[in-house]
Amino acid sequence: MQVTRRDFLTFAGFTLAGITLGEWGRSKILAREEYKDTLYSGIGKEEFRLSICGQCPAGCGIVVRLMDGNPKKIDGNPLCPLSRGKLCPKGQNGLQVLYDPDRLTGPVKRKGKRGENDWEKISWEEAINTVSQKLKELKEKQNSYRLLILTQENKGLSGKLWKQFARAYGTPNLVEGNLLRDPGILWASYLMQGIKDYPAYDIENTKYILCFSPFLEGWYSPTWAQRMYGNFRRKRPEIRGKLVQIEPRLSPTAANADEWIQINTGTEAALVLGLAYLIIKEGRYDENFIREHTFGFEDWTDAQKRTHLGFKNFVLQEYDTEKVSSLTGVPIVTIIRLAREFSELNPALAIAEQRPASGGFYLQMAILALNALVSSLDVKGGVIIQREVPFKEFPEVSGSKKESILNQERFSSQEVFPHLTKAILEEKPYPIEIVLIDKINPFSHCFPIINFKEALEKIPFIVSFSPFLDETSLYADLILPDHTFLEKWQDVVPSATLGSPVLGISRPAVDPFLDTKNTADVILEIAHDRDILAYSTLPWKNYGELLKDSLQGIYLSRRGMTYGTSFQGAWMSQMEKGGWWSPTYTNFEEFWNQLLEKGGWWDPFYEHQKWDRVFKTPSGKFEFYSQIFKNQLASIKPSKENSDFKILPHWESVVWEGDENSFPLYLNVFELLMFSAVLNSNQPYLYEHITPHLSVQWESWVEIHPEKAKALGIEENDEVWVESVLGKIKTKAKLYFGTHPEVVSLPLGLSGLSQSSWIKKEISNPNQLVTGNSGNLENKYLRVKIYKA
Amino acid sequence: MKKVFLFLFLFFALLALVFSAEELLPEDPLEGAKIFEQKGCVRCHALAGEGGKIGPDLGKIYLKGSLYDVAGILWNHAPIMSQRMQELKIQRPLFSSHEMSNLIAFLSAYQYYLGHLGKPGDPSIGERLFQAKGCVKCHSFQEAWEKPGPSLRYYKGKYSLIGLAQVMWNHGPEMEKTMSELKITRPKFAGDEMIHLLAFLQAGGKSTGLEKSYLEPGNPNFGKQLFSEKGCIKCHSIRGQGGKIGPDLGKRTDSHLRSMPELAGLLWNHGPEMWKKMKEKGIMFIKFSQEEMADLVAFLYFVNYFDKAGDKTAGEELFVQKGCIVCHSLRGKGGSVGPDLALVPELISPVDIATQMWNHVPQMETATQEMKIPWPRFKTGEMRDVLEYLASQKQK
Repeated sequence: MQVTRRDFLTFAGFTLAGITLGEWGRSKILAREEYKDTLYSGIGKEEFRLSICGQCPAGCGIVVRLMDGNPKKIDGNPLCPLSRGKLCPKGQNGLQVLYDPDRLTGPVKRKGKRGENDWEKISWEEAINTVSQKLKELKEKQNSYRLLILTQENKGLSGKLWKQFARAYGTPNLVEGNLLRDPGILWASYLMQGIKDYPAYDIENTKYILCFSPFLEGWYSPTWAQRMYGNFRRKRPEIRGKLVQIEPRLSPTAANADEWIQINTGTEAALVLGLAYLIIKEGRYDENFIREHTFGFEDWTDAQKRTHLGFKNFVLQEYDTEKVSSLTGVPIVTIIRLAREFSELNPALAIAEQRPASGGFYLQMAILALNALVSSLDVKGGVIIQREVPFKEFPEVSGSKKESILNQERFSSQEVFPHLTKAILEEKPYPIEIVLIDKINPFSHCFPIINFKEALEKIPFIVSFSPFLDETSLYADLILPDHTFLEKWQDVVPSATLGSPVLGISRPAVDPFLDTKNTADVILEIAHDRDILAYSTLPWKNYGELLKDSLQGIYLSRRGMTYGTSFQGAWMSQMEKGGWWSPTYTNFEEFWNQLLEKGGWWDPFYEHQKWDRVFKTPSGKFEFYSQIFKNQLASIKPSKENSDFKILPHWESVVWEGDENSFPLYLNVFELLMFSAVLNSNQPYLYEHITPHLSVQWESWVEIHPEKAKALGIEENDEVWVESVLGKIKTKAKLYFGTHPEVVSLPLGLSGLSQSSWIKKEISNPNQLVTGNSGNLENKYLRVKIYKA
Repeated sequence: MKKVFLFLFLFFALLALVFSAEELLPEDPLEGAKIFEQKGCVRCHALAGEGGKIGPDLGKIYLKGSLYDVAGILWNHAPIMSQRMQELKIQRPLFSSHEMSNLIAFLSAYQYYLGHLGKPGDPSIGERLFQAKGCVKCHSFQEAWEKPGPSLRYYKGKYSLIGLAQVMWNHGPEMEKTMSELKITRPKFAGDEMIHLLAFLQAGGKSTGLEKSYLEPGNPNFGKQLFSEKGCIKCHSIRGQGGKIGPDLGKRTDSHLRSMPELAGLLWNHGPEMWKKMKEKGIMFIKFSQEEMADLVAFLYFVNYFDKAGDKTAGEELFVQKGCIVCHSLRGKGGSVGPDLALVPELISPVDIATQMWNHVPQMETATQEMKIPWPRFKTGEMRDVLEYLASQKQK
């Protein structure tokens, strides 16, 4: 008897007769049913299509291999300046997003109570009409400003589309979270350089890196970071870059470094300023750069004739080597050596972006100051500022006059969410009535997040655009699922990496598998209701049309090139350096076709030392003493309270939540390469090779120093409780000599979707350590205790 | 009948002129950049750091001279290249004459496109010159209404050297007039002064923050056309053809290798003299767009690219001296290892010969090794003479 696939599935269906009715109901809205009969046959026609990886916001170009139209494999696009044909394991695993059985098959609306996971499938027409109706009602009541849009920071057109929608609709409440970068550096960059953007680091051209964060696996595009690291080591035959990694834990980056220096948690800023102390004291700083291009190094007098302390004297007074050594646990002789190496090996680069738990903006200010001392700002091998992609401007509209619920400008998810949650809960300055959530899942992406569930419950109407039933979507009233990245038109401006502007463009690599829609198209459809927006503000029929129109700006800018080989990029860069530009197209249609054939556009030339572009401070210089900060503080508090100490980069001791006796250990959370930005937690292949430094699969763990474990009677693989003053989680103990004896470390991102069909196992999530408490963890760290379960 | 013969004579004479004019300039030096990559040169050679590390970085070597001189350099290094390619199992690239011509044009013009020719200027010296030469009397970097000249705010850091040279040329007479009215002595720029001044104007501006403006590289063939159309040829000649008032710009000197700032300095310094002569001759002052200036400069750069005709007699001697005759015959005289070079149909022009020489290096190398003949090497100018001689021996 021949058993067909269908027979087998039928048999398998009977064996699963114990399935609950509720589970059956849910699977009707999820893709797990849709994928059952997707076996295909064909002649084996192979083709390759370009796309952009959507596994994280880095924007690496990819090539999708298809067999008879079915996607089989993903690799890097060799023409993409970020990936250059390479790809990280997450990117290679991108097909699992497409085939994820927990994808929503189409739009759904909530039937039961919020969070009960009871849904009803609806048509797109009904879904869009419902959202439109709610937005119209809010506008009619002249309460447009009570709309909150929560999304991921995106410098591409879909990000601009949200901005335009918010402005034209009349809400100032567009909150964009950056999932890859440390918000502290954004603040530091703004205060000291006047730039509201993340800097980029020219890793491949520097000679020496003093790094306080695991840059090879966390906060950047891993593909790009690892490529640059390879170039830093091997591309220049006569130079082998030196990496000194300074962090409490032996991360994979630290294991790769020439030297790992274990530092006491939360004392990084003190070490940075201790290095600045020695560089200043020994006269090792770049006097010419300091004199010509910086402000506030020396003591200075303001317009009111008040004398202010400059960075030099402040550091000389406060950060002598002995004091810094005792604070940080780093030996004096090491500090002296590091200061000398950093100032002698030019260009040298200091980096300290610390995701997921930011070291704060004072650490980042100290880092920028250290880079400024050796003139590593806007030079080859230094800290650079990414140039903008010259899109055609959107039609002009006036913004809302209402103040935002966040009151002040805030930049990133980690820093935004405590304030946002508080504002929603307290309804100050006004209540939020509708929230649209796109490409962000705060429950998973933002650590720590407290009371967000309660905040969501205060909002009458919640719309999610997630393709999955993730933790945040569970509280939505309506879910309008987006396509996955392989199914839609995309434009991605990668997070600052190269300094040069880059734009990835791709058409769909495959037709949509399910009844989903590109969120950008949905927004445009909603926007075309004249009672919601004036048509002229978003005059494009669909996203493809918007894309093509906006790219006219790049075409007319007469610079840069469509993606090409590294030689072509270098040649164009050199041409532009000489004032020339040689296009490979003669009209817009050719330009557009080449964009699609090659995967994007970039302008490889970066002109260094354009001081007017990179220093937009009141002095037009790099400000050791930030006048922007001084003015901001003066507007909040009386000037008497604002000492120079508060404005200058300094070290502040960390506030630890939990008393020392009950919670004797410090908690460190870290990101994994496989789940950086705390994304992709529903992809089984990634659980197969979670990390290179320990033998773990399919489970979370806590790292504890072997001596500390012995003292606590804990052995390898013991089930343990990790408990903070706010909550506790059960996990497995891993004895790791690379963690500090007084610290335990927990990985982030291993949690899977709620009720996942792939990730059946319950995996502990460090967010549970802070749930169920009304405390505010802003600028605070957790103490924990650990004991056998 | 005589008229018919006269017509035919004129027609062929014209054809010969057109042919020689076509040969005068490379078709598209930028095409050479593509060939450099497509043919795999980039696997072994880098251009200013980008590319292979096996051979020398061609961006750091200035391949000085005409097409023939560069062809000679390629020839001289052929055995070493060949050996390295064999070791690394790299297939040797073959070229068509068209490709070889553009590749060599690209390699020799590489530094011209990058504006690196000559030493780079020092913006801080340029800033001092801006004061010392009195430019500051007329121009500022702010919107200063009291200054007679326009603010340089929007030029600073934004324009290429060609753009700056174009502006200085076009506004020369106006500046001259204003300076005369204000009794300002016209400054002259000696040595590297213009290089430093333009470096200062090119360096990052304090106030603009604007994106740089780029020009498409000039096409030497368009420049040649402009040279006639704009009337430059009325005063200047190219290799004796044209006016005699100004110097012969096609004279075989290194003048075309001057950097753009040097050229701008020359135009500035000689401006009044040129305008005076033009006025005397009733020639209207001519202005150039940036694109036209780029084409014109490209033409002047490449004017000696194909060099003057080689010396056939010297070439004949070299053909014997270098041992070519041991393997090759010409019209039946010489060796029989290689073909009779007068009978090979592909060898029409010197460029064709240079191309075929490159393409047949492996065979020639094997033959020279078997016969224990040293690899012939050519000094500057020698390749030109040999190629001229070979071209003259073609069977008509």
